[in-house]
Amino acid sequence: MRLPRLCVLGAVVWTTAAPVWAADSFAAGVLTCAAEADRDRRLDCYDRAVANYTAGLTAGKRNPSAGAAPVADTGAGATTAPASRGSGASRPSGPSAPAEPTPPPPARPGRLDTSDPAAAGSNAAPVDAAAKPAPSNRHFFGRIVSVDYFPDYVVVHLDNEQVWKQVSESPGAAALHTGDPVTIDKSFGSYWLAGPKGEAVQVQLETPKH
Amino acid sequence: MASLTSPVARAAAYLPATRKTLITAAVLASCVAASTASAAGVDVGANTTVGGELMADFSHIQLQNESASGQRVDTAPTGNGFDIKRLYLIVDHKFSDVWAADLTTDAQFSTASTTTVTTPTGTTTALTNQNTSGGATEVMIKRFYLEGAFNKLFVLRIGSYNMPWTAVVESNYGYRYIDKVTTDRLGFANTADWGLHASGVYGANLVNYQLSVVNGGGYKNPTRTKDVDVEGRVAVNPIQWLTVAGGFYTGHLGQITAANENFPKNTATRYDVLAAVNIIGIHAGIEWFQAKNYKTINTLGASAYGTSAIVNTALVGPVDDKAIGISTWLSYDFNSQWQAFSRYDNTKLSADVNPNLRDEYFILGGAYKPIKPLDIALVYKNEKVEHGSAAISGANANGSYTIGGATSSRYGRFSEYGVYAHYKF
Repeated sequence: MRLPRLCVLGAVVWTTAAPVWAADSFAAGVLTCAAEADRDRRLDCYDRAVANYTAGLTAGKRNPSAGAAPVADTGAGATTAPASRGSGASRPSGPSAPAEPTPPPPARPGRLDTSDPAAAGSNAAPVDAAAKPAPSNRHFFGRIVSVDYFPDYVVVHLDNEQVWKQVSESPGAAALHTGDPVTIDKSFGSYWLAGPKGEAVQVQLETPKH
Repeated sequence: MASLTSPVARAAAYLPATRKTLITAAVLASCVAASTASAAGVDVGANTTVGGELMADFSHIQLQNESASGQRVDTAPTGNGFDIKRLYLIVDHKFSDVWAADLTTDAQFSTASTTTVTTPTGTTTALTNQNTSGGATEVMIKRFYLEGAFNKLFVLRIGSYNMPWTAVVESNYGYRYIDKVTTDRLGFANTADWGLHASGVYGANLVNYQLSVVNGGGYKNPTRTKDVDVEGRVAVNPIQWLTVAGGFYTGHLGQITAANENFPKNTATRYDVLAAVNIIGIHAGIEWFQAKNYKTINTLGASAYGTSAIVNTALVGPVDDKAIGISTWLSYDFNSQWQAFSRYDNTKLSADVNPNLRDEYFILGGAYKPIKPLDIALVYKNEKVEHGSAAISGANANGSYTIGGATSSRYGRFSEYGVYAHYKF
């Protein structure tokens, strides 16, 4: 009966530590990992969060967002934003900060969870796990650096190293061009990528290729 | 749990006490999360996902068909009502970087019905379905295929998959949830069928193609027939905002079996051309098609369109006939939420036998996207079939209805206004 006591202890700790979590993105990142149902991904998430934190300690500077869920501004004008919804209007990102390693997402985004089967022979770049969204990140910005075309869908590479794959038919896909600023919103469980003009395209984030 | 504690324990050595408790809490929370998912039984695996698509409307329909004496008669589905046009449930699974599979179900309301079947000795009436309760919503497979993505130039799908032509028109048109594209509405093209489907893309979508070898009866009818049908499409995007495509179909539409293979018969052929523009929020397109020996009228006097032009009886051969039509559309995205759209179709259904039999159709509407998975549109539709009648696939609950007059000198008119909705997840 050790587990129930641990659970109670955990609940107490959780409750008393709540104010700390709000202020500490590291804790938020770890708890975000805890929501990951898949064991391997959860473990990977923990490892990255802790590694980021300890790396920060070793460097002698405590970065408050180290280990947090991906709120990464990975440079080159690509930024994730707070959870804002609605207009879907794209806008270029603000000044970029140094890229910050973050844990992978706790949940699979989009309708499909698959690396592009046809991409093996394409120029699709491996995806950095740090670029993957977490549940708290429902809104992303980026700029298209390339578009890969496949039968029935496109794969969009953003300057934040995210790679998004179209998962349902939309004429909006044809309106996506290199250099376009785009937004990605999570809505009702799926991700939608919208360019400056045209209908939003239902997408999924490509699984990292290790 | 052991696999989780190890890296956490290593890291904890570096952490202050507060951090350790947080890690412990996180681990426990993960335990709770995992056990909850397991209890719910919804873990579909890392490579399997579920999605869906719904097309629905609430509208007023008025269909008036002229009787032989010229009286306009209100005809079903005249009235007010809520329709579920389409409800797809989609399950995808990825086996590897090459192999994947998809299952998409469709649904329709169905009542007991019969059809005329050609036999070696003549024709007979056969029961096509029977619902003892008087009617039921039945679920069927729309797409079910194994996909082998060997190369961008060659992706093979085995099973029921999207047909080449309808897919390219729908992707350029963009308002499938308002209505089917013209060749689908009028029964000259299937949206999916059972067989082998090869597709590929060259360059930055400079050229794409699809070639399908199918049974010919459509995804609702996977019956084996005497021979297979073939449909193909090539689309070219010489510049990013312009699409030009051509397609063809040839076969017997699943109507030739061992029972009637020696009857006099025709081969159905269809040729299609499309040009579409998609630039700065403007979507415009034109589609032209010619469908030869798909269907014809029953008699010149009645001019009811729908008789098979493939096969008739052992003694009486089918009549040669062809349909020629165009479909044009124009829409504009004011911003990411508001759009206006319109479409106009004009088809000579029986160009060889009754050239006056014509279907004319247009829609006008405005659409609003409150959230990205949801479209809501206010729509007006108007359709007229003159100098005869034709069965149109559309309107309510995946059914079809006849528009037109009782004779070749009469006409029928359909109009509808209402709110349409489209939801994807």
